[in-house]
Amino acid sequence: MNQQQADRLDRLVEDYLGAVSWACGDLPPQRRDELIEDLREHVAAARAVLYEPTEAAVRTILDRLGEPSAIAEEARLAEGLPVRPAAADPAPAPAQPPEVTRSPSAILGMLLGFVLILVAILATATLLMAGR
Amino acid sequence: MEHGLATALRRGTLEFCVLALLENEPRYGVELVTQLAAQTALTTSEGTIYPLLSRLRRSGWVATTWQESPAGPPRRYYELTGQGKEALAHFRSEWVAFRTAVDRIVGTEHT
Repeated sequence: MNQQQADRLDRLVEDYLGAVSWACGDLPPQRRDELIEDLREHVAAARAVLYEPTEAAVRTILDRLGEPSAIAEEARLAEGLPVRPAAADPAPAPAQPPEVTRSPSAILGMLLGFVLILVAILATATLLMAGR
Repeated sequence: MEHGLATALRRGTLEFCVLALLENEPRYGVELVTQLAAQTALTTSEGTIYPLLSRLRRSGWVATTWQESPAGPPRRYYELTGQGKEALAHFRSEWVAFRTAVDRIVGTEHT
């Protein structure tokens, strides 16, 4: 196999690893790099024992590794991440403390309560005074 | 749905199949992954096993060592640790109870 062929096969492998890395975009970088290294080792070990390192043989190794999206899904599972994150999921809005608002009727109710208590106190006082 | 069911069943069991394959001898990645992927009910493809192997390394159930290969680059060999052996023994007893209960209720005892 000449150098040009070898380069083409290397590129095939790197393209595949790039696709897996892209599919794993939401994994922690360390996990993603580790996974890519594991897959790179796998391909290198499998290529080393090929009887004839043809393009078809290398493609078979990659096909057997499987779809980048399937590997990414499994990696998310292993990380406890949601299995199918929506790609265009917007970042959640920052949580805001609930604003304390009182409707006009609530304010009216509070006033009414206050007045009633005042009236009750006055009435009690009047009755006590009258009772003397 | 079929896909979801297979995934749900694999979750929680596949890692113990990995431990069982390592019970008697260390194996290197390609060897391990090829054997597991040959059981199509267990995996979708060879590459999907690597995230699991990474998790097992971190949990301390397997340890790895690099060894020279007769052909090509050095290979990373996986072997079971003491913790991994305990985990496998625990899974075996749980699995029998689980399988028996499901078989009885689902009606698959004699299939």
